[in-house]
Amino acid sequence: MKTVELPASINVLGEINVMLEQSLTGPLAPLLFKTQLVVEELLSNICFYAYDGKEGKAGFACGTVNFDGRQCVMLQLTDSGKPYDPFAETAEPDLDAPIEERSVGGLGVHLVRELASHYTYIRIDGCNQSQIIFEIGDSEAENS
Amino acid sequence: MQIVVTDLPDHILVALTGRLDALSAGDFDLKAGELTAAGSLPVLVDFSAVEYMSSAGLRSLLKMAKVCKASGRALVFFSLQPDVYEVCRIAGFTAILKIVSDKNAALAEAGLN
Repeated sequence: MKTVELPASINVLGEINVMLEQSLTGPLAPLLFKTQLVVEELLSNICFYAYDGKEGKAGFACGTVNFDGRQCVMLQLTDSGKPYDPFAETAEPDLDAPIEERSVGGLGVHLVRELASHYTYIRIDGCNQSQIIFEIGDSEAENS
Repeated sequence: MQIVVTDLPDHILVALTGRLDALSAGDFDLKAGELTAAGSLPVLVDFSAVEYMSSAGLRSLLKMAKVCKASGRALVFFSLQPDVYEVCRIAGFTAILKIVSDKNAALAEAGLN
């Protein structure tokens, strides 16, 4: 899996979306929406929080992996900002609150949790690394 | 994202085309802010050509809905594509926003038919 290093800026989103469109074709194409959404949410977190407003880098990789005996698509996001586990440290949003009290804080990570088949975070070599796995064919199974 | 606002005698129609994401949400917020700042006509938002929406888009819709709710103005979203609807559902927005299947249902929801 090839990692590309990009400026930690939301402006690289278009570039990443094109990479995903080129990688996820044929039987992988149904995963395009989910994967683009998950990358946007995790990249947004990196851009806005990892470097406390200073410039930094974000690493992105996408590929197919064998997980639990199944072919899956894996996304990996890395940054060298302050230690932050998005899955452990982001509170679940209150989905039942009335509209006046609803905030969208934490919604991005909530979407990642719900749309991914599996997700994991590790702090490694001074970097935050999130890996997100999507089972191929999962979306069709959920809709049937 | 393309945003086309049409002023009609009894409502305002907003037709969106493209992606409502972190890159376009700012433009949408500006436009939504303008059209909800004055007036009281119901606002109907056509989502049929919105192919993608992230939490940045959800944030924009919530912001717009709060303004309309505070001023007692009807705001209805219609014709969401399945993936976009699913994002709204997972976020719990199908319970707090008026989201309906098509334009006729939107007109009915706003009391206009």
